[in-house]
Amino acid sequence: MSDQVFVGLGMHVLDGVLVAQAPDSIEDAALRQFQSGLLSRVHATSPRGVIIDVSRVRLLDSASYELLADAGRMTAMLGARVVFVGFQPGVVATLMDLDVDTQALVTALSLEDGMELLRPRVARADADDTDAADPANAAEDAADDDAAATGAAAGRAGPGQKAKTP
Amino acid sequence: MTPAHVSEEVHVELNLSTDNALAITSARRLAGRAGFDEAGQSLIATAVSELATNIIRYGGGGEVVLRLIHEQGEVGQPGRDGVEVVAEDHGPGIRNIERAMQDHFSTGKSLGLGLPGVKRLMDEFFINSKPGVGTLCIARKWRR
Repeated sequence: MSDQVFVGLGMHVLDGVLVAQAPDSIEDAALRQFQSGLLSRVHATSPRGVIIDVSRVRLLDSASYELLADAGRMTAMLGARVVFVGFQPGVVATLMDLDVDTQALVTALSLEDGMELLRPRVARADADDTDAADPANAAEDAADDDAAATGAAAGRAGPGQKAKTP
Repeated sequence: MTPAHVSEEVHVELNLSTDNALAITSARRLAGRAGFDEAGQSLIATAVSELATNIIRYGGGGEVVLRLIHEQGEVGQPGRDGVEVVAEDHGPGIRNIERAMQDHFSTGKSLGLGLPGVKRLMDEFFINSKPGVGTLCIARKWRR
């Protein structure tokens, strides 16, 4: 059966953001199919951001975690900002004991929080946006935007920032 | 590792990558019957998945045996229940067990066998391996 048929499986677009459901199977084949499907869809549609929803993932061992992290890295290499949402508490607790890089992913508690992190960033006069693809910067930049937005809402704009239109 | 009383035993043959799912499900169920909660079941299932993946990918196939174990307490002390995992293959073996038991995180992506992780997840861990003969891992988790 051609993989083309399943390119969009478990994925939908919400306000310009591609939301992709990670499979509940941690089998190599399933995760690699998820990776290729995700990359195809991102490449074809150029969403402004990607949310990888892992709420159906009941178990992660070191191998499957790396495949998920790779899905995030590869998507970021395409230039899309990536946020993982929905990590289950039991999975996270176990991951702490495994030999994995837990800092490799940008995460958010809920889909809503994830969408918030991927909000279009306010144009900055002095900013250099060539590091936009680095997921580690996405949270940092979003946090800066939150600070700027809060400042703007209070009637002031931060240094070098345009005030947001309410 | 001190001998423990076994009340239940499940054997899972590990040859294809699809066998890992069966090992995980069996581990979850047995851990549930041993009285572990959802988190404990997931923890044990993850340790089993790490060991089973090694057997399938590097060990040329093998077997994992899951046991529901019991230990009697001292006089006046309650006993305890747990799960024992015995993972065995007759593959190439591990040349340097000491290195395999060190974390690989510092060198970047985790390319190791996940054994330090299994040791951290479980309460007791034993490994024996001989190049050209195979590898044996035994791990136990007790429910307090």
